[in-house]
Amino acid sequence: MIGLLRKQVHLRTNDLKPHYDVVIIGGGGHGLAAAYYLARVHGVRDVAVLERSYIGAGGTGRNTTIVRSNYKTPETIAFYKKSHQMFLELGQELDYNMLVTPRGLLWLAHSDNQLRLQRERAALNQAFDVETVFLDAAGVREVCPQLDMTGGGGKHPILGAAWHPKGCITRHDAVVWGYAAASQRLGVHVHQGIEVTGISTEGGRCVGVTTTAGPIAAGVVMSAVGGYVSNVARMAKIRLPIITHPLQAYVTESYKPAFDRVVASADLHIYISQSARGEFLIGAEIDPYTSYANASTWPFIASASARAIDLLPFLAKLRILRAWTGACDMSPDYSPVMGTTELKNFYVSTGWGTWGFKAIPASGLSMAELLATGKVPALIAPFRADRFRDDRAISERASAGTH
Amino acid sequence: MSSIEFEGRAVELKPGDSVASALFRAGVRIFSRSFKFHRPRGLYCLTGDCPNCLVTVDGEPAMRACCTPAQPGQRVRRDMGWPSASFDVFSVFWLLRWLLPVGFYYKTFLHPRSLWPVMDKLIRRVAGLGEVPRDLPHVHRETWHHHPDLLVIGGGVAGLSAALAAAKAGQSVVLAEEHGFGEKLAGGETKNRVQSLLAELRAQPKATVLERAAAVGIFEGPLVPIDGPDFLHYAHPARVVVATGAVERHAVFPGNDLIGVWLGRGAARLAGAHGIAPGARVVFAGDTAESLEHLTVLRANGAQVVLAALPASLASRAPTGVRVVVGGKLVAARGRSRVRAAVVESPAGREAISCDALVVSVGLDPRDGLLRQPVPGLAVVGAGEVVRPGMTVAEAEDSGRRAAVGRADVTGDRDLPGAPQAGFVCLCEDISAGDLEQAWAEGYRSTEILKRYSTVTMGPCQGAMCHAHLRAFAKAKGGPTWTSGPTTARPPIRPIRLEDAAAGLGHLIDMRTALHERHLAAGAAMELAGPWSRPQTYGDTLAEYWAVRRGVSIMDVSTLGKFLLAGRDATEFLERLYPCHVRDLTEGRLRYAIALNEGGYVLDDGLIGSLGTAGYYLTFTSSGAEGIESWLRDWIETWKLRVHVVNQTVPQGAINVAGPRARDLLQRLTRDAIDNQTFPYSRHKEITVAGITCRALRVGFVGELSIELHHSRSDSVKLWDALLEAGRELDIKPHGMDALRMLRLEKGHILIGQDTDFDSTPAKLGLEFAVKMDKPYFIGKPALQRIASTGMEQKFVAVAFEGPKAPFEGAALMLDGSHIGNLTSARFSPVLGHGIGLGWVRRRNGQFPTAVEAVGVPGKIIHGPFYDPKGDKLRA
Repeated sequence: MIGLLRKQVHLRTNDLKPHYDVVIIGGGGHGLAAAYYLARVHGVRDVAVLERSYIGAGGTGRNTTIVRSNYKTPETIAFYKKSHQMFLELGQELDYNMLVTPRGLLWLAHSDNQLRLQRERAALNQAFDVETVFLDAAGVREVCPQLDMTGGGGKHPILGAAWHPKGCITRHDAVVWGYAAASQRLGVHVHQGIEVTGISTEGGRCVGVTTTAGPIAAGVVMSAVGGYVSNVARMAKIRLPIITHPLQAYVTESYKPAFDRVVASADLHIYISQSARGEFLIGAEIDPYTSYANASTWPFIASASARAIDLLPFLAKLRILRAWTGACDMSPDYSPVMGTTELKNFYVSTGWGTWGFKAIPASGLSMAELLATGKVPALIAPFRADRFRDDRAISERASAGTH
Repeated sequence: MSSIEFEGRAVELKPGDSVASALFRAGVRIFSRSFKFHRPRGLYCLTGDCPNCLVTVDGEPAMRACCTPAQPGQRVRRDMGWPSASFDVFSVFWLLRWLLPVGFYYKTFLHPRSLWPVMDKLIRRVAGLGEVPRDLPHVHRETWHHHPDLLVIGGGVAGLSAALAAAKAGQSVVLAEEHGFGEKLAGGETKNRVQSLLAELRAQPKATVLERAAAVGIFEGPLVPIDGPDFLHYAHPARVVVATGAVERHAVFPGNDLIGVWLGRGAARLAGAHGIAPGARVVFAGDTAESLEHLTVLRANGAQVVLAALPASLASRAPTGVRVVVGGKLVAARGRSRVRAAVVESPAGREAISCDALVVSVGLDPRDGLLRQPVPGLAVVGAGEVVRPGMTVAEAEDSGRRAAVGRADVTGDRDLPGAPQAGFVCLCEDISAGDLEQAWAEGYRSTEILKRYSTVTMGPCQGAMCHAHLRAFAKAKGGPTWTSGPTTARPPIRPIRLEDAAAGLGHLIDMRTALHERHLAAGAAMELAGPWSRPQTYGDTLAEYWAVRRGVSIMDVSTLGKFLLAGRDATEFLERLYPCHVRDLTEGRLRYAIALNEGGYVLDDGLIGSLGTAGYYLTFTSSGAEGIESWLRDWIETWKLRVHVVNQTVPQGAINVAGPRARDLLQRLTRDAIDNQTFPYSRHKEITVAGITCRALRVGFVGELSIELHHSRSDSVKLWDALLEAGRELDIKPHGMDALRMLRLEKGHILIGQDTDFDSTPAKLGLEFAVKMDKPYFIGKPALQRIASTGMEQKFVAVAFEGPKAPFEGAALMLDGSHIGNLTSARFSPVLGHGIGLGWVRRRNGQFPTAVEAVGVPGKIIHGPFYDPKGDKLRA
């Protein structure tokens, strides 16, 4: 409570310097977290985060705020488990309440194929110490009695689910501000309204960036720009296995608490939760085409509504207040892409698709270690960008809203 | 006398009443409690823009009382407050506001760790505007499409005039008005003109007028969904005129949220349209051109205006008998929950005038959300006050006529109010000017970040009241331009129910084969595979299984993907498409084929049958069929080849006749030669069965002699019945999916999607035989060449379990107690007497395992199919 009475400054305005040890392109969760851990863990404080708009303008501020670790490959489970654990302590670590609230996540199955997949997911999670259990229809009803088990009169009957009781929802913007504030306290510079226009190279290595505010020299440069990574890659003259698809979501008006769970359905490509403010947050699958347009489309709003009502009929009378769209940097295997690139001293954290928000702490921590030491941490070694070339894809069938 | 029920008491109605006007007349002053501090709030804008009159009507929360026409029998209650909105315990939050500054939840509840979950529950309980309605029936609505030359959104003078001009010029016009026509107007010249223009428009043959129909947004398409009382109208216009008018600017000053503070148009509407004075003693502070009209209307309806603070430009024309303070400036409103006095400052000094209503007009802001949603390729122009607030009736008519021919009035930069100094900037979320100052001091220094941190503009009004003030605040701070830019306008422009948004959708798509009724009559339990219903079992799966293994059985396989390919380049196309050879496939031959994507990963599998000069007959899996057609067409276009594709999936039925006695059965129904010499395995030919022309395919998915009969869907029932009839002596039984899954598993055949993953190469699956790397090219070949030397980390294997128990599908495969893979298919094998499965294993220490365990059941990894490894039976 004392915190309320103390005068606080969270975010500061820094003067731009002509040189930094580390320049991070993109002031979203991933960029800011990497900056924070560089300063906190490795003592690298001469770091600038460059954001062309405002911090958190991209995917970090446009997701469904779910944190979970019930993934489907040993590599991703280890990674997201670490991130999930870090999230649970992040508020204390950064002295900023991210409103991380366990709600329990139900991943519904409406078909034999999904039943089998959800069973498989539970078994795999248990093998790696992640708490996920398979529930049959009766078990689902017990955990979430509001569900229409017929799925809208037999359209999508609910046959079972993978239940991940530690699944959380959070306040996404707080993650941005918390990392920004904590990293600035440690001396990191965060610059908003500065756009990177080029990557400077010398003798085959990256030596800095050019920006709308002039050139900046840097020891190492990292891209953490989410959906716009292909543009940055083009500046660096490298190719990444990434394409960008829009992803949409909306919230309803605010209502008294009526729903405590997070419900996701792989067959219906939809997830539903109620925020602490009382708004119902409904998201769906990526749009089936590549685009940078951040425009909401009516087919999304209409079809997500129809599917949401099929699962939770009481949603029918709630009113949609606000819809938005984000750009997702999709990788071919639905797993992230982190690490070195063909350009020396230029690193990427990308391929965050629809699964990036929950990965912010572990990605930041790992990328910071890579930038500081030049060595790829074991946790992210499988996620190297060139894995597709030699058939080491990390095929992730438990990513949300993708397939 | 008609009435509505308000929290247990009857409230009388007069003609033209809204819920708000009826309640106000009956003495209700507190209409709601605010979101954060539970401040009592009363009527304010009366145009549907502010959040103050959100009430529950007939069980549905957050309805705007001012825009909800009163209907006899309605039940109305207020959403917020405990035990009631009139006396709300939670209003104590206002006294504790020093403990609840903007963003307080980000700064506290961190220690001890167990505190936040408790606080979360508390905050949730207090937040929220209304109860979720649980008992109201879901109304399924449909859509109604319009394709007008011109869509006009907004039925005021400008909108009606635009629509009328276009209609008179012979164009088809749809005009959508969110409320009732003229309903929000106080009366006078504007209302009269609305009525006369409307009458004229209704007489136009090509004009469609939609009332109480709110445009939700302008989307690509173009598509403008319009939420009407009957349908969700889908307008697909060639051009759009937006004439949504202006919203009266929210006035920010100390005490501005007290009950009894009114915006000018709201007070005038209450007086002019409903004949109710907003108060007995009214202080009036007006800066806008229409202030004098408001003043007149108020006085004509029984309000005593005790003081009017007017600028010099208006003061000279003020009605007589009103005390006018020229250049008087409203400083504050005083009172605890209701306004008791207004403080006005003038060159003569500052004075407090006691009053019970304070009417404020400080300016107008365009209601231009729709104009800020540009859609490429669609001409959208504004007309009337949305372009330039404060127009006269004649100006608005002109503006509408110009817009009708596509000429938009020039808009200047939107003028912003002065920076808010004190008072509530945001009524929805209880954000004061001081809160914005604090957030700014904490470092949240742009409109977008201020919005997210303080939640200003994020409430039910979506910024209608506060957006201009937020920008004015940020602009006054003098940062770079982007820090005071407008926040993004997001659809929907007006909140829309999920069920209304879902209009026209949510129908059950239930695809049935021609034999559906036959399956039901035979007692089949059906299962869904995508949109298709298929028989899972007819009741005795084991008997179905044995019928295939020992006798004869039939299965409806009509859901298989089936395509005819023809054209000059068909062979060349398939050579490029498939990793197997196609050119050497002579007429009458069949070949198993897998389809790869560019990554060399397996997409689908099926058969290729050559029809000679007539082209090819292709089959794919049931689940793949839908996507495969676009895949085929994509590649045909990419390569610019002359190939014609006919999707036969629905028109062609297919029945598989399987089992050692399958030939016995068919010979009873055909005179065509089907002996093993003339019709061996892996061939197809046209035969006549029970008088029905069929393409017969000798295939082997179940591991026994089997002949698939593809035929016209219209003959399916006749063929099915004939087969069952002729097979009676052979003890024929149809089999369903459950038996099929056991049969195919014994043969080790993969099911695409179930056994395969996104990165399943032919080599990992053991399907190298279907890939001919000596071909010059096929889709995926470059990728397979590239990875040929990298070796496999994962491999698909067959596992023979010990004992009769098969682990569940999806079980983890373990080696020495740790995870080494997963089981994708598993069943008990009746013919072998033990459990069998297929799944993926990884290398450990460089080696693939030779034995694994799944849920405690040990299993050996074996090579080749479990059943009839040499394939003698299916070649019999």
